[in-house]
Amino acid sequence: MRQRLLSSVLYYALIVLILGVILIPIYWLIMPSFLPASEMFAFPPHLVPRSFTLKNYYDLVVTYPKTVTIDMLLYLRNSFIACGTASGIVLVISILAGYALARSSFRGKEALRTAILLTQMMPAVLFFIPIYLFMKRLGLVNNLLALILVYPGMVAPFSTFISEAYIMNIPQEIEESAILDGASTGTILFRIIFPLSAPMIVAILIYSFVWMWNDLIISLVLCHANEVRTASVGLFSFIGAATVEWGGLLAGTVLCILPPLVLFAFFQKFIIQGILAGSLKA
Amino acid sequence: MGVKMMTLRKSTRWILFVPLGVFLAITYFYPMLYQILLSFEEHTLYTAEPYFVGLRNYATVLQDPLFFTALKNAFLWTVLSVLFQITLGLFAALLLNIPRKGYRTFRNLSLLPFVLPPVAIAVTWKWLYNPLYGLINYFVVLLGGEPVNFLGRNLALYSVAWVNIWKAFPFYALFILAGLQSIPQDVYEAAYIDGATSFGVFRYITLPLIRPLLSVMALFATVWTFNYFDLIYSMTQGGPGHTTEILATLAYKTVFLKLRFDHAATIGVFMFLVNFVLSLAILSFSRRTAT
Repeated sequence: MRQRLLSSVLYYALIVLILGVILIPIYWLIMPSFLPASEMFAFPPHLVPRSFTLKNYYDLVVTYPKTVTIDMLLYLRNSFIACGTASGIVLVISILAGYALARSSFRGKEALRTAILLTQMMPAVLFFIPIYLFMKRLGLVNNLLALILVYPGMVAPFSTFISEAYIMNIPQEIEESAILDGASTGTILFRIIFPLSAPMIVAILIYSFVWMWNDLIISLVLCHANEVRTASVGLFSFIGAATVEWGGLLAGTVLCILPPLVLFAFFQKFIIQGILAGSLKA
Repeated sequence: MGVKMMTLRKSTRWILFVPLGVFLAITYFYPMLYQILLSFEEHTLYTAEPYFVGLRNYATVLQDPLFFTALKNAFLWTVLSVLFQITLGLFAALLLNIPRKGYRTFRNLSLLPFVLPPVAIAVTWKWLYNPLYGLINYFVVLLGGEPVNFLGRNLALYSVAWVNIWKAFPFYALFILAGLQSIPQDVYEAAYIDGATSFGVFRYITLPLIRPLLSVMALFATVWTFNYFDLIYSMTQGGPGHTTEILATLAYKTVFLKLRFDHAATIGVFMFLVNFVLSLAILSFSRRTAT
């Protein structure tokens, strides 16, 4: 009995330790962003806050755009525009290709899948130099359109496999009877596949959006001018500034983690199930 | 399969592939070829008309001691990160596989660091590591130590590697946990009836059964970490004194500080080769375990 209690205590102690290691850094980002400077830099630090202020956020939104031309709200808006549009493109191209993979068998299909899989394994950073020169020639450097053109290809292979797997599980009978009634492929996709694929659509959109939102290298290379910076690049230039304004920087970081955090909180069960299902299948 | 597969018309099928093909061409196929071409050219910001120079860029890059510093750092950074990501992940997964409460909480929180932007993670940890008012140094001083400069020359690579481990080990734990839970319970029961110890069960039953999963994860983690520009660049920019320079950050600086597109592309070709070999290893490995 005593041994059991002891092992139980040890077990929970270890769990608390692991959770602490994961969560304390995040707490230590969010909590101090609501502290006045005097308490933020207190030594010894206050592990539990004794005051509360929104001054850091006020500075970030109102003061910095005027004084140091750092405009976090603009960067967030840029990120939303680029990542939102590119995620929409990913959705369309990966459902079309996923449908073609799921509903046809042909020679070379496995080779095609392997080629798509290989591109999935090549990270963006490998090709930023040719991509930069290419976009420069098109005159699209420092234009959000460059990100909208480059991001989809980086996320689409994975989404294509998700949509292939999902569409495989949709019974074919509905489509077959639709074809007998003379429906075109376009009609089938819009009237049958799309409405039946809501969970998959959400999964692809979230995965794409978060991936693009978190990217640094591509947006740093293609959109570094102040007015087209994305949230990540904006924060990055903030760190690089000669004197770090910790108050504004922490507040800006909290705003930057908010979209992935919110999406994750709402759709978490779904994302974890999707990831695990995918991994067990592969 | 047994079920007859509905087949799209050939023309329809290829039309459906075209949009994906176009975007993959912009992001992968064209850049891949252009990069190889660049590595054989003289091409700087000031070159009016790029021209063929054979293997000169390869010779230049291979004679640059910085290239080997970056290669060595990339190697150390990858090995440290992957080793501890998987080991800590395995440890956490074994702990959570004991059926008690706490599993759900962990599962729900474990992906948190993984979905946050690397730049945000860099800010968080720079703030934690800060030598003047950082939380970690507060505990160091509390325990009677001297404040440590975590991002100084001696420790920077290890400190950044730890952040990478912190970010990913819960993610791997989640996968290993799924693998552990697919092992049938009666295997364990039989072993315990035969008088096996917990460690013996782990060593001779659990570990062999999840080894394929661990190997695939380790290969994927290697690919991701070897190229992981975002975190390392936003924490240290490769500094101080190139102590955290990896090939990806070196290539970036070669473009934007030295304005040498040709040399950077050559570094890119080296990185591509490493990735290609690793990817083929992953593919053949997962084929072998699948059959």
